[in-house]
Amino acid sequence: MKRVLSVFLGILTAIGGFVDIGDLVANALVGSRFGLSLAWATIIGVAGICVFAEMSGRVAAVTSRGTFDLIRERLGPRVGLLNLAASLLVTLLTFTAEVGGVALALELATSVNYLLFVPVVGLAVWLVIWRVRFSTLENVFGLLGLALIVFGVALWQLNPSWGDLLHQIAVPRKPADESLTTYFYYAIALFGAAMTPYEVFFFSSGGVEEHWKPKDIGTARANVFIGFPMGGLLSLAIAGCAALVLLPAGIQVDTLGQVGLPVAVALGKLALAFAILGFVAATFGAALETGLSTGYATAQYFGWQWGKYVRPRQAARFHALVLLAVIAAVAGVLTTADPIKVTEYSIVFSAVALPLTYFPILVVANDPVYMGRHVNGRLANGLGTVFLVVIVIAAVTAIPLMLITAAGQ
Amino acid sequence: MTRALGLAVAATVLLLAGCVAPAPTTAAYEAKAGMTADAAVSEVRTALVATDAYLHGRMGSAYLETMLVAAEEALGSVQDTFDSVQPPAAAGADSLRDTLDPLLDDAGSAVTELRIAARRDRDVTLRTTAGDLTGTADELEAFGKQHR
Amino acid sequence: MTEEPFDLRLRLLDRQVVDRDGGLICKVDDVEFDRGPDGSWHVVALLSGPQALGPRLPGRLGRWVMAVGRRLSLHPDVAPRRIPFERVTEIGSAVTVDRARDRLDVAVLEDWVREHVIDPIPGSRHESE
Repeated sequence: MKRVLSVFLGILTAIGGFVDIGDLVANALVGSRFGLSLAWATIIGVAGICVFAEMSGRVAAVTSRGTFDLIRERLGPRVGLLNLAASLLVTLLTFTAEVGGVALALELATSVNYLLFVPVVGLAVWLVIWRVRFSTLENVFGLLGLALIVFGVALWQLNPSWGDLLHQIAVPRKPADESLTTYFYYAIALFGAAMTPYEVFFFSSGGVEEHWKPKDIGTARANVFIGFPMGGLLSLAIAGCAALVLLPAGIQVDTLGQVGLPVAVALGKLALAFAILGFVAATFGAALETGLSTGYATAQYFGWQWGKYVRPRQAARFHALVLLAVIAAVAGVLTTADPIKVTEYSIVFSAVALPLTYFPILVVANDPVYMGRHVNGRLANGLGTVFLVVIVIAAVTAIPLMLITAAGQ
Repeated sequence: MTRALGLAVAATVLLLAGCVAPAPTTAAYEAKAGMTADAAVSEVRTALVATDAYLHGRMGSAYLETMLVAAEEALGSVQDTFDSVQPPAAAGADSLRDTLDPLLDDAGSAVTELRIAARRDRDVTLRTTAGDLTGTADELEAFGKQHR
Repeated sequence: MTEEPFDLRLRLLDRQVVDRDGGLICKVDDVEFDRGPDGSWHVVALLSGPQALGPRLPGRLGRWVMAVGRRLSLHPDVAPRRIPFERVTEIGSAVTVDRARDRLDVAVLEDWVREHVIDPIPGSRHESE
């Protein structure tokens, strides 16, 4: 019974923790401009992260080692360092976006300018990383993130023609007033939002933090294969709400407030409060994950002791790195760059960095010396290879499309 | 390789800063005017939907204020960007500007009024200003459709 | 009996070095060889640290890493951190070394950061709660 409860908790946490500021912005923006004609990109992205998160979780359970540890081993120090530099840049950019997201959500709750919240948010993020136990951290913000279910309820309340919605998803048609290049640019953006590199570092390092053993592979799989797709459904609900309320009004999403507007229209004040809670939980949780991931990646490359499973003074360089990352993220938001724009860039650059992260995982999960009998089967390899091809296509076309469409104008 | 990367970054930054050059042809200027109108419609309708939700008790005042402040800023920036474009020396271009600018002015001042009324909890003012703004929104939308 | 050749680059280099309790020590940044009496080469020690990693990184980056290593070094001669190969008990997904971490060579950066950055912050000695 206790085991069932713990698996259930894990799944709920995975659902609530799936969405971050990138998913919030990307799905609402795409819904408001393209309806559900790009839902396929979200679906493919969610499927992709499921495949690779399962692999990296399995690797962590079997080897008790983090992703970046193994990236350096398999790719060598030079390519590994390049990988580290690129991953750090993208993760730091994402961290900055998440901190900005928390501040924006708090602004919506209080009408106090978001910049004033930024140092407080930074301090809170660092404090939680410093003191709160890893599993508590995961569970609390994961469960609070379930408040975003209010978007599903709002979608229901808006009483759409479900057949029509399903048709839009299954038979995508690009809107006439948008160009083909913009359409595919946003497909890549959705893809990058669903498959952010830091999730893999975090998931595998988290597995080591929680001392996963091979017997925990089943639980990890339940989290991934049930939790992540349901989190993906939340993303689709956000897009659907935007498609139903914002698209007909000619509203294009460029603020966090617009993301929550359909909930207000459909359900009212209380539901909107839940949406804000969901925004705060999702972005704060993701801020914790990205902050920790900068430490995980760097420490694992250099072989330093890392993790919250030891006392801070036993992982001094790791914690110092996280502190530096928090300072950098806070400084980044305080430049008054629009956090929504920062978010949009972070997801596109995530798409560019994806092959660097996912290729090594596929290689390691295939290595029988590391994995023993838990090595990739044909299904995992087949899916992994297919997704790797998709990832490379997305990575290669991301920057050119960004330049051609002037970042989606 | 570093130089190529630096060039790519520079190109990205330039393109994305939306570096403003004078629109060379009337057609390009018309397209720019259309896009400006669409962007303005987005901000104005955001303000309207939010205000309407608030007046029906479906949104708190903090949320409304935050959205109105954002819409006001965005609208101002949309108008500034459009005005900074040098119109080509054709009669068509000037008439475009003469139609669009007043609409943008009306929209901007109405959203400002909404923002002030929201902060002061003046529901009646909100209602009447929103009513006027709806007309402006429709005109902007028609302009945008016409000059796409 | 033919032994399977042990690919050093694949199986030893860039591996994580752990102590007997699973604590993380360092990476195998480089390997030290010595010539035995019969003329054959043997692995004598595992090397770690900026001075060991630097030469394996290309060009200016490598030189910069080594310069960082010199700044961090306690000794006037800049030798990389050295773990004699006799200490290695197991080579699996990680390289296990038989001494507890605190009995090995001091890690300068970790100690400095611990002393100057982490210890002053309250709560650094406690488990998370």
